[in-house]
Amino acid sequence: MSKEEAELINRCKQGDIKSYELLYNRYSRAMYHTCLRMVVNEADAEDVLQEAFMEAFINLNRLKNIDAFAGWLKRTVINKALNHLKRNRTTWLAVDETELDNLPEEERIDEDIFKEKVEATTAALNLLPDKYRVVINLHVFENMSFEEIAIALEIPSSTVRSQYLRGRQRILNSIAHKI
Amino acid sequence: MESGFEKYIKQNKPEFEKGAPSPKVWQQLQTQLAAHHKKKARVVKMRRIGLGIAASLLFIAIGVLFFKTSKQPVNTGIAASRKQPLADPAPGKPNVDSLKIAKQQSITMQAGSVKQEGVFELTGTEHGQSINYYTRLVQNEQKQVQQLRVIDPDIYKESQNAIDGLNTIYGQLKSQLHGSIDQQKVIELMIKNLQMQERVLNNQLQLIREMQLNNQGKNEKSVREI
Repeated sequence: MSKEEAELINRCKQGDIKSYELLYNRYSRAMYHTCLRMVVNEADAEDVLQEAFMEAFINLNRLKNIDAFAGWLKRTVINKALNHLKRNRTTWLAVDETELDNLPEEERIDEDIFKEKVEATTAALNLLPDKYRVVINLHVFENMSFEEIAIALEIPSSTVRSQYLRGRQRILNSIAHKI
Repeated sequence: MESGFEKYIKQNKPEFEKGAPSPKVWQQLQTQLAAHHKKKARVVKMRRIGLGIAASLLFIAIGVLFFKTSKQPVNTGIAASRKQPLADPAPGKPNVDSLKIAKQQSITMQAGSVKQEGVFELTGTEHGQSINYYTRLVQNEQKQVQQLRVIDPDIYKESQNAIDGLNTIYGQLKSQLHGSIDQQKVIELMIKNLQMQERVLNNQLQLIREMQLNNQGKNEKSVREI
């Protein structure tokens, strides 16, 4: 963490509103997309973002190690997004959590399929059931391991792995069908 | 080993993150943060008042205890034969012969649960003047503080609890005044008690002024926006 950011966080701890704004501007875009990928809806993503930043800012004094701010903020955002999804139990529980042994580890589809397919990939991600989408986002976009995701979702890491593989396969199938 | 899918996402992540949250997210956050810090400042202020009061109550309670254990028992024979004021002055202490303690009609202040009964009229002494001065000041401020009942009932209740506590101790000091061997000290403690009450009430009045100023500012802003 840069010295400048550390000073910014210290000024936030003293309640300086301008410093809060600068810190928010630094992280809001990335955190917004973390939310949006998980909850899909833009209005919901903004609500979650606001809640997460408010919680982070009012609890800033509890953060002992300022260098850990970025990771701590992201965990707060992810937890808020998960809580939001879990409030809608119907969509949250609508997946089969049993392991599937026959899914291939490596997809058999050409990498070139992804060229200029950002929109299609995003659309395919958004169509996934909540749990598959969350696992894909946390593993691929947020660089969390299956074990870390398992702790966050309170499910076995083997279940996380199978949800990841299922979700990835659905995305690949969706993109392949559009070619 | 990273799959083609994962590699693609990581290499093209910025493409997946176009767009930003709307400005209203920060606007709402800013409002919430301002409200949160304002509330926090009030809590800190009230805690400081509370700590100050607690320290004073402890001090006064220790003083009361000291005088309870050190006062001589009142012998009705000796007291009956006295034609002078209640206590002979101790050697080296200021002359309290001119001290006339007369209980006036009780003044009941209907300010919430606060009642202050019995105002001693002490004539001709600096202490007497101080007690009168602070008593009147406390009465006036109690009337003004009534508006806090409407503006912020919680803070009003907390403060009035503190005032009630101080009043109770004031009453105890007053009741010990006649039998005390050192009335001078008791009166000094009574004055300190009144000063503490005045401080609590003054803090409440400051809070009221701040809240009124804030409301005035908000109203002016709304008028400008129309």
